[in-house]
Amino acid sequence: MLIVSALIVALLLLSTAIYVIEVGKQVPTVSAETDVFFGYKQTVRNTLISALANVTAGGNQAILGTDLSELKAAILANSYHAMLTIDYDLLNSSDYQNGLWVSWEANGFGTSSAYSSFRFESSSPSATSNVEYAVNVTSTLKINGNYLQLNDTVKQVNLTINVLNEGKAVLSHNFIFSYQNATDWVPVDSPSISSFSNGTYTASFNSETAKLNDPVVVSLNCQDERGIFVGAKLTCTGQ
Amino acid sequence: MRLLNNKKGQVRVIEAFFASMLLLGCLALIPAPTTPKGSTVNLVWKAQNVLLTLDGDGHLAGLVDNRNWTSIEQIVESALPLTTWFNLTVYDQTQNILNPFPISNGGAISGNVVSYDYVCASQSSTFVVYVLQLQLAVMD
Repeated sequence: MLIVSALIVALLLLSTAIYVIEVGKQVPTVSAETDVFFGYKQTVRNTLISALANVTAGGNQAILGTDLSELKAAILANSYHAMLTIDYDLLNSSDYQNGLWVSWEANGFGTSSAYSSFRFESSSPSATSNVEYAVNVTSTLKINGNYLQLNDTVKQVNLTINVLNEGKAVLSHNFIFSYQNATDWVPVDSPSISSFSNGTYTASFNSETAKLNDPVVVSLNCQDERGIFVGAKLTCTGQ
Repeated sequence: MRLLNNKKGQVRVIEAFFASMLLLGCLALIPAPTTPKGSTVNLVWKAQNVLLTLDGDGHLAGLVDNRNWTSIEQIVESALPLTTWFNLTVYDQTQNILNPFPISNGGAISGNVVSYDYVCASQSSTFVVYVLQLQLAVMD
């Protein structure tokens, strides 16, 4: 009886040990080219962020293609183990032109976005692999608010601001406010800005308009932590 | 005299002896896990993992942009085991070395050294590509 029990325990021990060893073998230990391609996703993302930061700061609209071409040359020049092929397509659609979409609307909503798809192919004597993915970088600004009439011409504008990266709330800086007085845009010198530390800000400043009860058109540009500018305009009405 | 004639007790002892031998034999049969410590493949994989992880949110590119070599040395050192020697060299696109002093945790070693090149792009509005070459070896 004791020997039968010992035999069962021994079999259990052996099967557990074999299972653990087999599972351990499935851990990736070889630096396959596909891992490298997915690794380059961050480098590609950085390139899109750089191009978008450049364009939204007033740079060349065709910069994304130039930067990706430069990146491709650098990756190919530093690949010693396999023959690589890298292709990319900058999105061209109703919104995107050359992979970029910068839309700072008058409805309190602004978008700065870059989108490109990539295809990596690798062939070496031992293996051939290919990977495809798309990378999207989008900074979004949402503002809403109203004004409080302080006297005949002065209005206090109160705004709530949200900044998002790929739909997630992020911190921002370099807030530049201005408001429309007749046909001129008047920069706001010292707005009062409060941060809720979660990507939401409130801001208030005084504006002067010619007529009582006129709506106030405000403009806001800001920069997210990646250095991408995004802006929006909003027509504020009285409380 | 009664004790010597008790055959049942002796059988139990022999049974227990065989059972324990069976268990010990089974333990001896379990193969030791083979981890390729210090092997080239493992080190290349480790070098790749370190660089990809550190550049996960563009942090590494930002440090190179700011020429913050001391911080780069610290984060690479913290990402590797104490027994692993490393030497990181940062090149620009024209293969000029950018780091003014070696980013390393020690002098030259005699072991098998592997090298991994990672192309890293800056997030700043002025686009720059860097090539980071991480050399690793296991110290004896």
